Amino acid sequence: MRDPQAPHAIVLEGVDLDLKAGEILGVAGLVGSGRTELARAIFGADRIAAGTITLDGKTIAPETPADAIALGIGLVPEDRKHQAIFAALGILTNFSIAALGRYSNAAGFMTERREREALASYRKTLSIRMASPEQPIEGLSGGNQQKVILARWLARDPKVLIVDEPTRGVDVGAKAEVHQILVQLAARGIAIMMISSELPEVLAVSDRIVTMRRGRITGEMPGIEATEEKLMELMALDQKQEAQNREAMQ
Amino acid sequence: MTSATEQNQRGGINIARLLMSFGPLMFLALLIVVFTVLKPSFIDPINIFNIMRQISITGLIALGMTFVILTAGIDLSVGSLLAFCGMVAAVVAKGGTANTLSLSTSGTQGYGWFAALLAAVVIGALAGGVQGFAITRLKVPPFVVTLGGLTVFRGLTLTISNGGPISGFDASMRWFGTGLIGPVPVPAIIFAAAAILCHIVLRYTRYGRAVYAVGGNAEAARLSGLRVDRILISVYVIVGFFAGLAAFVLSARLNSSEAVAGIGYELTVISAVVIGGTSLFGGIGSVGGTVVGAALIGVLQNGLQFNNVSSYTQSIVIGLILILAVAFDRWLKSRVRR
Repeated sequence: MRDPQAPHAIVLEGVDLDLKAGEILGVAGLVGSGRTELARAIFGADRIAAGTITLDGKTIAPETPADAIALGIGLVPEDRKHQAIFAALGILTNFSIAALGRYSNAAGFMTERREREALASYRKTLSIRMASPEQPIEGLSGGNQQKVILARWLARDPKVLIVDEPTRGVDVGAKAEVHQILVQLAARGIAIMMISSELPEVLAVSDRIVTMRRGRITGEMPGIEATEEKLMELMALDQKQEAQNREAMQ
Repeated sequence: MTSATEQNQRGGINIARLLMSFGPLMFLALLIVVFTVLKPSFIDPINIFNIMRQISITGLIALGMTFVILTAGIDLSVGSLLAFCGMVAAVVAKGGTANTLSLSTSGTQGYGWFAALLAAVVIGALAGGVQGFAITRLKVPPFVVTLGGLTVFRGLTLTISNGGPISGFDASMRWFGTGLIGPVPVPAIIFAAAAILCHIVLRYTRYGRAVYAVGGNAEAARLSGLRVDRILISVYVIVGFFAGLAAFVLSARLNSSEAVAGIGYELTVISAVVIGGTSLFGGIGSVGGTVVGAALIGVLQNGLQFNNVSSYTQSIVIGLILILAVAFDRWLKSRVRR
């Protein structure tokens, strides 16, 4: 199953996952465990060679992020600076970019008043601290940038929201706020998949947790039963087992 | 652009930011004042309209180039494409190939100005589309694709014209280059109308937002669901369209399509866009800036000529201004960020 185009890529194999509406599924795994690859595959950001994804009982095959978004999937990517924000552009554009169709009319003109009203409402509910909708987003703190990106997806009313390392580069106070927002979104019926390498974060917000290692799912448990030790055990490379595997392959 | 009132909300007017928005405009005003003091007849309506006519050709292409540069692209082929579209327009206007008709001055056998205009803009847009396709699908950088285009379109022009001009169009076509509406030259009106249209598209439409987003961060744009390749192709179609329109106006003005038309235009056009504050790295810029940039170059050229400065010296001055404009822009931005 190795992709000849990218021989060193992490290959996902035997990943079988269910995600329910209104639930936060925590995905715990170390760097290189395939968690980000899984998110990108679901979102259509990278092609998948084999496997199926079903949404509301229907098989879907998003080939591009645009396809996935049209189906009601959103992704808050891992690398905010390079994959999410338009640093030099205003907060308004950063907010509405995934929902341009909702804030424009049939002739293709932006309905800027509705757009501004929507941003103002998210600014309040997510308590985004900003000066004006025209302010370049790079002037905001990491936490406020992340809230704008969350608002970007909320503007689309997604069924599924995948958040990859949602509090990376976010200060402690804003971290708790981001967690609260995720819980509220789940309560609204959105299925949330939260990928994180910070175990306290995974334990704090997840209803259910799966662990990943080397492109495989290695365990699953309800959030209340999970502890850092249990998760670590499932995430960490089992040296002895790895050695055995290597011997078996030779 | 950030208005002064928003700055007030943020606590105090930020002079650096204001300068960033209006710097080129103030420089333009300063130039006009200086040239008027040197020679009061500079400000005569006749000369002003003259300047407007002069800048309209490269100005039209600069409007299209603004779209391209906003996506962090570049199009070096516009000068050659202009010559090619002009030649196509001439062939259509005169109803035959270059060789048989280059000596004839009657336009009676041709297909008329409208067909010529249509041919020029369609060929321009198609040529832009082909280049856009090579950039997005074959993954060749815009600089390289359009550098190739620069030679290809010049070669095509020379091939269909056999190196010579095709001259002599009927009065209805010439009107687009030499006519007046009231006191205003027709090319200036075409340029103004096109500028307003482009401004509306970039500032108020969904498409305009997408162009800024692709230039601001192409990967983030893709992950936000934008069809980045389509948008990139479209901006090369737009600049090609404007090269075709400019070609038609130029041919009409000169009453001739020259095989050597438009040589070096790409540099004037890119200069206008960049002096107008559009960033070569994409995502930042405006049509208003480009109009000011084009006017700045036009006023500079005309004013220097007016004061009998040689064209050699003119190009030295314009080149230095280009560098200074960008340096000034950089310096302002470094102050704003702080």
